[in-house]
Amino acid sequence: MRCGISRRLISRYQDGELGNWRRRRLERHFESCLVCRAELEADKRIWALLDAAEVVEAPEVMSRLEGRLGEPETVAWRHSWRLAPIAYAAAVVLFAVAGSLGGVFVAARRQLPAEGAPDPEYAGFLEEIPPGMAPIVSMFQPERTP
Amino acid sequence: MGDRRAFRALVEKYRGPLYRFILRQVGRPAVAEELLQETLLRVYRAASTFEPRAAVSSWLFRIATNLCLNEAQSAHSRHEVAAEAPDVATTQADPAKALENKEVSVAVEAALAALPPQQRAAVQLVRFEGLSYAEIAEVLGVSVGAVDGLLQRARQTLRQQLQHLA
Repeated sequence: MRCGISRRLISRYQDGELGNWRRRRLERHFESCLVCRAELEADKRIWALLDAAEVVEAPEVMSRLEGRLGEPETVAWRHSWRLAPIAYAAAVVLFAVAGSLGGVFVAARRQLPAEGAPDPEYAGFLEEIPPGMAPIVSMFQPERTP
Repeated sequence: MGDRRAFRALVEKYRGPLYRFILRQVGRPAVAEELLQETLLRVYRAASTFEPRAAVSSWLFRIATNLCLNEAQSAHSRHEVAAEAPDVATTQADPAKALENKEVSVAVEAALAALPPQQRAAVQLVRFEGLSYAEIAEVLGVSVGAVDGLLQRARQTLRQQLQHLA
């Protein structure tokens, strides 16, 4: 096993996260590599120091919890305020989209020709056609019902 | 809603580990106590949705972790210090030994407090609570490989911080 791989596995080795095969290979490497063994020992010492972390006694909470168990679930106001800017932004976007869609709809309604009236765009198009092409174009004109 | 007798047994078993985990995450005893209560309330209310495929401890620490991260974000936006080393007291017969232990303890707590929240949570869960990498991955919502990475980086930082004591 190479030293680079060995160093990467030290953490998992210490935490008992290596399978038997890998663990044995790593242990064999430690037997032959002084540098990696020193790394392991240094890591062990640091990990052991964490035992000095104090075991703090937890406060008694059950009596206070008993009174709250029947309460209906409410949103914690302390945290819900963070959602307010998102809600405002969503509302603004929604109004903007609704407004622009409404505007487009109203404009489209205004531009529609009256029932039975010739389509001004189509009439303009016909005017621009060279005289020789008119009979061909007229073949593709939609039939109008009387 | 859960069964109250079972809930009481669960509170007795886990309030210590949960409180210590939360206290190291937020650094302030009053906030830690509030978050401990909130964690346990959520556990009680969500007991019916608990999936037995997950370990109870993973589930509890996941709820606590989410609350701690929310609190850290709120504290950050309120420009408060995210995690201070909690003030710990020792009970030793030998005063010299007690003082030495107190110094080590303070240094360890300060080194833990200096870690980024996810690294600190991973260290706490593997070292103090004995959770496996797979369980920690579930608690933190990351992959097992990511847990390995978090712990490797945390070890490097702790080594730099605590070298003088080792």
